[in-house]
Amino acid sequence: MVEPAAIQSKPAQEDPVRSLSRRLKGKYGGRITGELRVSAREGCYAPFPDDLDARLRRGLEARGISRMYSHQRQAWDAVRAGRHTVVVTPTASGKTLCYNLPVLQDALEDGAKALYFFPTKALSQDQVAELMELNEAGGLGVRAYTFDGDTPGDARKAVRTRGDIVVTNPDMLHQGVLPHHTKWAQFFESLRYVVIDEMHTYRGVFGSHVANVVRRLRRVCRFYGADPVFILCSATIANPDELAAELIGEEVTTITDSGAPAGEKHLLLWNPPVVNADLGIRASARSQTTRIARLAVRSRLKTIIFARSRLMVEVLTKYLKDVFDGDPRKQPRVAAYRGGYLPTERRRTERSLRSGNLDCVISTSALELGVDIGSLDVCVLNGYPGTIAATWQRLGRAGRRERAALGVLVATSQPLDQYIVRNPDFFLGASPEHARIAPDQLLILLDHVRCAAFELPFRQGERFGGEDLEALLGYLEEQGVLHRESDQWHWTEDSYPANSVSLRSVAEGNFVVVDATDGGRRIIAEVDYSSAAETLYEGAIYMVQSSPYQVESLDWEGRKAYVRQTRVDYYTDAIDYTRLKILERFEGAAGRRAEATCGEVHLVRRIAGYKKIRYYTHENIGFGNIHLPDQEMHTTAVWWQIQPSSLKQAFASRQQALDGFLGAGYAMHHVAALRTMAEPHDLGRAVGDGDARWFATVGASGRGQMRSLDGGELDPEQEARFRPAVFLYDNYPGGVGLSAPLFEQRRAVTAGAREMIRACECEYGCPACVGPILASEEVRGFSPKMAAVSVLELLDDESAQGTH
Amino acid sequence: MSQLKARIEALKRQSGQDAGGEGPQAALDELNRRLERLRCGMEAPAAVAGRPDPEALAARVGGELHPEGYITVETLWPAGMPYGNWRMGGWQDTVRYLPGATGRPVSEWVFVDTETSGLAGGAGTVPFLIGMARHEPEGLRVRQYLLGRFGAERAMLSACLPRLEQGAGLVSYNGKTFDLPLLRDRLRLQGVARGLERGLERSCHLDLLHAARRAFGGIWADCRLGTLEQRLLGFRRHDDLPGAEVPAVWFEYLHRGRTERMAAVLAHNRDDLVSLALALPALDAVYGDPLAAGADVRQVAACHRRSGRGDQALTLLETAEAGLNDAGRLDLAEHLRRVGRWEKACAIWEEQAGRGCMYSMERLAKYHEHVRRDWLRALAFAVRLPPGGERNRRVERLQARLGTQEPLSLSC
Repeated sequence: MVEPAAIQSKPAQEDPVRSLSRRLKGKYGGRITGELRVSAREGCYAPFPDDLDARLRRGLEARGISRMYSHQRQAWDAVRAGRHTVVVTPTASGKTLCYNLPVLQDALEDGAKALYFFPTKALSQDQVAELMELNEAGGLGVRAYTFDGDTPGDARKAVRTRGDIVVTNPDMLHQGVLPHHTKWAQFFESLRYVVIDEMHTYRGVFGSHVANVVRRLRRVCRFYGADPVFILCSATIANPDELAAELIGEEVTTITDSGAPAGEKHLLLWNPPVVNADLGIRASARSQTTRIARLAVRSRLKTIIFARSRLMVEVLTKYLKDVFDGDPRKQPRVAAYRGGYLPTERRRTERSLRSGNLDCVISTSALELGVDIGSLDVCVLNGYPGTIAATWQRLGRAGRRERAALGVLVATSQPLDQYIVRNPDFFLGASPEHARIAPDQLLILLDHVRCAAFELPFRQGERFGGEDLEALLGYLEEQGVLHRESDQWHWTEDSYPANSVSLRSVAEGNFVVVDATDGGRRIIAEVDYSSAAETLYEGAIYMVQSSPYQVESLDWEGRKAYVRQTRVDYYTDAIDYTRLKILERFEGAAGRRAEATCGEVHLVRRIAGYKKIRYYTHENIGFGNIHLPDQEMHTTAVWWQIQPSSLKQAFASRQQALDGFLGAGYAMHHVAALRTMAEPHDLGRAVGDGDARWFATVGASGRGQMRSLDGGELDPEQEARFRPAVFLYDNYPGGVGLSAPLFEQRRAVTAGAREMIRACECEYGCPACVGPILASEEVRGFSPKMAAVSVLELLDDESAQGTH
Repeated sequence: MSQLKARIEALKRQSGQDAGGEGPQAALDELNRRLERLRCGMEAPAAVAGRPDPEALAARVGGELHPEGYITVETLWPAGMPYGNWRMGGWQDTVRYLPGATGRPVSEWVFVDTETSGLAGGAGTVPFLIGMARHEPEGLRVRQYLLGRFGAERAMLSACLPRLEQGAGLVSYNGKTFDLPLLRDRLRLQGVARGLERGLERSCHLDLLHAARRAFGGIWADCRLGTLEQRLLGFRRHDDLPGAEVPAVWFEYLHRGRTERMAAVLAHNRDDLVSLALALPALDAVYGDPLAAGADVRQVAACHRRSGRGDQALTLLETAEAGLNDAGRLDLAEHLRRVGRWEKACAIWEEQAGRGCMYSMERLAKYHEHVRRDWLRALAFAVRLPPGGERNRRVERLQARLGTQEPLSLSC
C-alpha cells in the first residue's frame, strides 16, 4: 500500500510555493502587472588555496565544505595581498567566509587580531555563533567574543586582552572602545583586519557618522603602529566601491560576481483593483497584502510581510491576528517585529521564527538585515520600500536555502508605487541605487573631531575629514573644549564626549515610552527624536504588538512619553505644517519663465494636530490639537519658481495656480526620491513663499490653502506678492548631501513628474499622481491634474538655459 | 607618497592659497558663521582670555618649576604634630594586623593620590596633580607634582615613576579602580618606558577603601575618605575645596590663566594624603582590635582568615563572642572546628540547630558520622536535612552502617 501511493503522489506534489504563485495568477491575473522568474543558478567553484591552514581546511571539511565559491576565493586572494576589499553578493551566498577565512588564517599563523562590526547587536551574536562552529569543527582555539552593551563588566577585560576576534557594533566602538583605547593597547597593536558587514546600511546620517568613527579608529590604530586591512560586505547597491572608499578613506578592491548557487524565484508586481474609476481610487494595499498573506499562511508557507511604517506593521498585525490568533490559549502564529520593541522581545520573535513556531511575521526594515530567522517561503512587500536595493534585499528574505520562493510587491496608491507597477520594465530592469554619505557634514564632523580630540590630542598638520581641521580645532578652542599648546590641541572638559553623540541621528536624545497603566513605570518602547513629535503627542494612539496605548502626557525635556493601555477602534495620524526661508543661494538655473535654485534654507516644522481614523472603514472620526515646540532646522534644498507674469498668463486664478503647485510638488517629491536614489523620507517637501511670508497646505476641504506663519488662512488674491515655489529639502539638519544631486537631476524631476501625471489613468487627479482631490472637482469643472501639468510645463522651461 | 602629498599641501598653504585674504581668522569666522546657522543661533562660544603661565602657577602654589614645565611642591608634617586624635610620627612602627601589609614598617609604604581633569575616565582624562607621601624620621614628607602645561606630562610621569616604585608598595584610597589604572593609561599614552610601567604593574598595592569597607561598610553611612577622617581620626577639615570642583580649577588655569584656586587643590590633595598616611596605622589598630573600634568583627575576622591568619580570626571572634550575631557565631564554630575544639563548636551548632538552622544540622550530622562515628545520632540529624542527592546518600549510607533498611522516623 505504501509503495504505489508514494509513487502516485510524487507528480501531484507540486512545490507549494509554485502552486501558490499559479493560484494567485489564475485568480487575480488582472492585478498582476508584471512578473519575473529568476531561474535557479548553478554554483561556480574554486579550490581551497594551497596555503590554507590544515586546521581550517579540516574545520571546513567537517562542515561539508570541500571547495570555495569563486567569489570567496577572489576575496581570499585580494585580502591576503593586503588590499582593502569589498564583497557585494546576494543574501545567503556565503559572504561570511570571505572574511572569516583570511582572518582565521592570520590568527592561526601569527596571532593577528581582528575587529568585526555589525550594525546591530543581534547580528554580532549570530556571527560569533557561526565563528564558534567553525572554530570547534577545526579545533582552532581562536577566541571570538562579542563586546557590546550586554557584555558584563567582569568579562570585558578578558575580551580586551584575550580576544583574537572582537565582534562589536559601531555605537560600541564609538562610545565604549575608542575613548578607552589605552585599555585596548594590546589589541590595537596586533590589529590586522577590520571587518564591516552589511556595509549598505551605513548610508545617510548613520553612514556619515560611521565613516567618522572609522577615521577615529584608523587614527588610534596609527598611534599603536597598526594599519589594518578592511574587509567590507554589502548587499547589492550601485556604488559599493565608492561607498567603501568613503567609509574607510582609501581605495578598495571590489568583488561582485557571486559564485553561489541560488534557488528559483518568482516575483509578482501587484496593483490593487480600481474601486472608484472617477477618482482613480484603488483598493488599499493593506487589503491586498492581508489577502495574499492569508492564502500563503493557509498553504502552510512561512511568510514575511514588510511594511513601510511602524504604524502599518501594527495595523497589518492586528488584521492577521484577528484571523489566525483568535484563540488565546494557542501559541500565536503571527507576530510583529520592528524597531522600538525591547531587545528581549525581538530575540524571542527571532527564535520562534527559526524554530518554525511562527507562520507569519510583519516587520519594518528592521528584519531587512541578516538577522538569522531561518528559511521563509513567501515575502509580501506592502508598498514599494522606496529603493530598488531595499526591495531586493527584502525579497531576499524568502528562499535563503535552495528552494523556490515567491515575492509579491503590492503597490499602494502612492505615485512612486504606481509608477513602479505600471512600468514593470523600469523596476525589473533598473540598476539599484547609490548609497550616499556625507562624512564632512559639518556638525557630524565637528562631533567626531571632539571625540577624536578626547582620544588623542590633535597635532598641527594632522588630517581628519575634508574640512579645514585647524579652523574646527580653533572653534572648539574658542568654546573652551580644547586648549592649544604649541602644536597640539588637548581636551579640556570634564565630560565624555562620545556619550553625547548618537550615531543614528543629527539631533540628540531618544524618547522612551513608559507604560503607566495601573500606576506602573514600565518602559515598553523607544522612539527616536526625529519621529517623537509625530508619534508621541498627547492623545496619540501608540501601538505595541497591535495593542493600543494612549499617550497621556509627553515630557519633551525629559524625553519621556507616559502611556496607558486603552481600548479604542481608531488610530491617529499627525498633521504637520512646514515653512521655509531662503538663506543663501549656491547655484541657480533660470529660463525666461521659470528658475530652479539650490541653496540653504531655514525650516520650521509644526505638528499642529492629528486625525483619528477608524479601523477597517478608515473614516475620519475626529481631530485633536497638539501643542509641541516647533522644530527648527537649517538644511539645503532645491526650489522651483515661475515668473509672476508667466504664472498670471497660465492660470485663471491664484487659487488654481496654488493647487497646481501643490499637485506638482506632490509628484516631484516622489520622482525626486527615485531620481536621487534616496528614500522618500530623506527628502521633505513644501510649497510656499521663499521669504517665509506664507506657506501652503492641502486643507481639510481638499483644496490648497495659503496660511500665514501663525497658521491663519490668507486669501491668495489679496496678497501683494505671489511667487509660489516648490521646495524639496534634505530632511536632516545641515543636510547630508542630497540637494546637489537633486539639483543636477532637476530636469529629470520636472519631466518625470509631468510624465507621471500625464500617464495616470485618472481624470482630474488622484493619489497616484497629484495627491488626493475632492469628488466635487468634477462638478467645478476644474482639474487639479491639468493645473499641476501646467506648472510642470512652465518649470521645464529653464532647462533649455544654462546655469548662472 | 602620502608624505609628499602632505608636504605639497603644506607648501600650498604657506604660499598663499589664501590670496583672497582668507587667513586663519577668516576661516574661523566663516566656520563660526556656518555653525551658528546650523545650530539656529544656540550655544554662543564663551569668551576666552589669558594664557596659562607655569611660572605664575609655581609662585602661587609655592613650588619649584622644572624646565620641562612641571612643578614640584614639598611639604613636611613634622613628627609630633597633632592631627585629629593622632600625632605624626611612629615611622618605624610595623604594620601588624592589616592583611596584605603585615610585617613592614609604615615607612616603607608610598601613599598616592591624584587630582584629575574629570571623573568620567577615558583617554581624555588627565591626572594634572600627582601627590605622594612617605613617613620619614622627621615626619610625613609630601611631594606633589603639578602640570604647568600639557607638554610636561611625559617628564612629570617619568619623574614620578621611580618614587612610586621606590617603596615596598603603594597605598591609595580607591586607587585600584581609579588612580592606578589612570596612571597606567597615561604612561602608555605618553610612551614612558615600558619596563617602568610594568614595574608599576607589579608593585604591591594596598587600597585602604577596601579595608575600610570591610571593617565599617555595614556600620558607617558611607566609606568616603572624609568619613573615615572624622570617625576614625577625629579630624574635620575646614575650607576644604570639594573634590567635584577640582576639574574646573584646572580648566580655569588652562583657559584663562587663573591660578587663585589652585593652592586650594594642592591643599585638598595634601589633606587626602595625610589622612591616608594616618589611616594606615589607624586601620591597622582597627584590624588588631575591631571590637574596641566598633568595627564589624565578623568581616575583619573573615579577612584575617583569608590571608592565612586563622588564629588571629579565632581570637577575635572568641573575644567578641557575646556580641556576635548568628552568622558570626557560625563563623566562630567553623574556626573552632578547624582547630579541633569540637565541644565548643558543637555547642554552637546545637544551639543553632535548635532554631532550625540546616547548616548546623548538616555540620552535626557530619561530626557524629565522621568524628564520633555515632551512626545513630548522625542519622538523627541527617534525616532532618532538606531532601536532595547528598542528603539521601548520607541517610542511605548511615542506614547501611546501622544495618537497617527501614526508614527511621526519629524525632528529636
